[in-house]
Amino acid sequence: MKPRRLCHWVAARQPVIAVVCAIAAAACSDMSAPPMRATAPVEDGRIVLRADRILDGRGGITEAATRIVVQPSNIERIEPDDEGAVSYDLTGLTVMPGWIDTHVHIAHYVNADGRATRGDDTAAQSALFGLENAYRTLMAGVTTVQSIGSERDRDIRDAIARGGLPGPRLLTSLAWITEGSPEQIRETVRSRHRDGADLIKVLASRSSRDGGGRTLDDAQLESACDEARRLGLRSVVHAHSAASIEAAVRAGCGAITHGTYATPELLQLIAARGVFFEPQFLVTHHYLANKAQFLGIGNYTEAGFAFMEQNLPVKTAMFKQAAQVRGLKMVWGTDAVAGAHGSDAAEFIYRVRDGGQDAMAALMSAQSGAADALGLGDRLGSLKEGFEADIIALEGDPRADITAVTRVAFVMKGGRVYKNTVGKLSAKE
Amino acid sequence: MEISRNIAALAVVALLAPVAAWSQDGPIVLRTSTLHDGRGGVTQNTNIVVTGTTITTVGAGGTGTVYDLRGLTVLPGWIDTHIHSGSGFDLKTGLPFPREATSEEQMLYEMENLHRTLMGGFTTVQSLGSARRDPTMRAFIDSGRLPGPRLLTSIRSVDHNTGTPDQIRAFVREVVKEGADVIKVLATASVRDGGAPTMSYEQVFAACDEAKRLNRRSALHAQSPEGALMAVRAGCNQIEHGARLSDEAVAAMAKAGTYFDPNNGILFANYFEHKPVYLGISNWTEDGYAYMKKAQPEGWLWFKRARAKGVKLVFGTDAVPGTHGRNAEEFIYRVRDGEQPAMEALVSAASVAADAVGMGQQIGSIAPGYQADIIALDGDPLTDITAVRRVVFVMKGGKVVKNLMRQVK
Repeated sequence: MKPRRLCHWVAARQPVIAVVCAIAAAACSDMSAPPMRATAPVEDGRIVLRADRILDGRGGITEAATRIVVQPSNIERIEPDDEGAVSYDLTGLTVMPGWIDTHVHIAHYVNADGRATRGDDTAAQSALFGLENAYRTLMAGVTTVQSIGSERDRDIRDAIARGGLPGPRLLTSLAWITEGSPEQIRETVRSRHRDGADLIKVLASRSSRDGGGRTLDDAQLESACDEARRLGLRSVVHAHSAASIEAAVRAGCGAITHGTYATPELLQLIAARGVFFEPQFLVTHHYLANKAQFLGIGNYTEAGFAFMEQNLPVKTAMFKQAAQVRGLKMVWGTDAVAGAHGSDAAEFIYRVRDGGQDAMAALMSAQSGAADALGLGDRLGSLKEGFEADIIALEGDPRADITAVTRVAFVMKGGRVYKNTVGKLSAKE
Repeated sequence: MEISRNIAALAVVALLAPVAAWSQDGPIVLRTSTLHDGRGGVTQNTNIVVTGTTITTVGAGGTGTVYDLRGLTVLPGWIDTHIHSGSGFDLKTGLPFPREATSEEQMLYEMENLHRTLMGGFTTVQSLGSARRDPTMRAFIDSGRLPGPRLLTSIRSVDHNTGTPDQIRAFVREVVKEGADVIKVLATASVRDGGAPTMSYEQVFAACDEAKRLNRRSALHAQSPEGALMAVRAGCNQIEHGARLSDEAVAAMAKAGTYFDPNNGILFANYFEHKPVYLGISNWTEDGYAYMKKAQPEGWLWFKRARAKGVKLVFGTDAVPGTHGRNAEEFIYRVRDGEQPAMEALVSAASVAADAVGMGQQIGSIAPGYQADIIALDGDPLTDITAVRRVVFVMKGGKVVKNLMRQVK
């Protein structure tokens, strides 16, 4: 049964929850067995999707009538359509694995006064704003996010993992690592691990609004990424300047986010070292379009905004180069900040329209590519037998018109349907 | 003061433009084969047209986005007149009634309770108890930021410690100012403590009368006939629980038209099922459990007598940890153990409950002008009441929030 599976997943991270889960299993009933039986006149306990345009998340395309059989939270099999009964008819839509956004800030929101905040309301209100971000993100077709991050992420992660609230699978770095002696940094990494972090986020450069210059030396970076590896955690390094990017790569860190001033040589180095690379467009556009929500907070100054505006063509040029580098593991992330949650898919449009990336490559970077970056490439990001049933359907074909990514009509996560506005397809007479 | 700061902040949240996270364009047509109107009527093969948040027509025709609900039983979204949103299981201890949970954790538990309840087919709930975070959730739900049922709340309860009648009146004014939709009055002890009255008639009258003066309803917890009689005399609107009543109390309730919300099914079943978790907390003692064992059959006895005498039976579950999301189980107990006809049980959660919460003109019926709170079951609850477990479609205020509908092919 699904609630139990989810509970096991949670329990593996925090054993204390196991008891709660045992108790709550009965209460999970609304979303589990009864409705599923109801939707499955098909095969007992299974959900069957019919689709005739499938992008499998790793480059494969099927354009023939197909049945995707889900049981209970995984894809059990994919087979040619035999015209049998199905639970959901997704023909006419483009069906693909749910997207994975490797860079969001789930607890960052626009408050009631229209200002961006990381949580200056009551704790109760902040929790719900974070949950709202998660809900919007899931409804937009993103079934997994990596929030990098805030200590406030954990409660949201755990609440969603209990199974009763609508949100994407959530991984979090908890708070950033920004300073300290190598030994202090190792201790901070250990404390993040103790606190339940899924990965480590390290700031190796200043903000893009402060010029993005390098902040950590080689020894500091090495201690952060080495200690993370020792504990079985991945490391994601925020780096804008060329020096900070190069240092992070040479320190053996797992992923670079931003990479604004990466040179062609550095992009080659990143590729050669097998480091994941995650540039973004959306965040800069979002800041510039919503300046009033941010201006006056911290380094969101006029000068900071000027930096970001100048960065846009730099980032675009860098992205175009990166897209040409063979073997570069470029993964999808949006740096979704306050107000941007649920607009994640716009990143695809910027990538294709402004960055000149092939639509299929952009999509795959949010599917099998991003899953690999999260170390979950054997469970997520592919529409394949045995994988988690994280499946979305778009109205339109994003290969022909990338804006189809904003028309998500169906969202399934872990075999559970969270969005289904394709009702009209059931009455075609 | 914390509360007033909250309220001020919330007022602003509530003013934010509604966010249609799941927006639909244009009218929606729900094609149905079996439609319950929520008042006892059933119509075959008709269409419901929804425009914005409201049902505009029920009948033939209509154009718009079509959801084909044929083959299912379509009903008004259910109304649970008695839940406790503020109760979940403590992450740290595994116990109900979180005491150690942080405010963030507690908030997320409460929102989870409400979301599960919505997915279970309940588009409106009335939260009766100590639930200070309800206004926060209500603001998020009403503005469309998070999916949840319409939330009516008492925020806090009046009990024997609230004070003199004047102090009680002042308390009622305060919670109404905080945004309470209803006043909860704890007039007797818990069923686990025998249920004897704990408040005087004067105190009860002060609470229910002040509520009425402020245009609010009152719901009174009564686990003894004395409590129920006080409620009727004091003009309170609804009596909760009532596992122990008397013929005199039943006659008085029938005569006064007091709503009666008995909770004999899922409430006790849940406590029995989760006894190892509850035992040892507050009055969940072996003695308390013995009281509950005794109260349940007695409760069904008075349920049947109240029904026979024409008391207005309204649907409520008293949902506590373990119950949220399976509130509909109460229908099954009502039919099986209370021998209530299925249609009557369903209507008690539709038009009757809507009347009881003062929203009889807005929710609880499927008719033009009503809010589009519409659910669909896989099965016919009139022949198999367990169909209430199979909620495959939920629309609240014109927005589809759950659609597990099988495709007609």
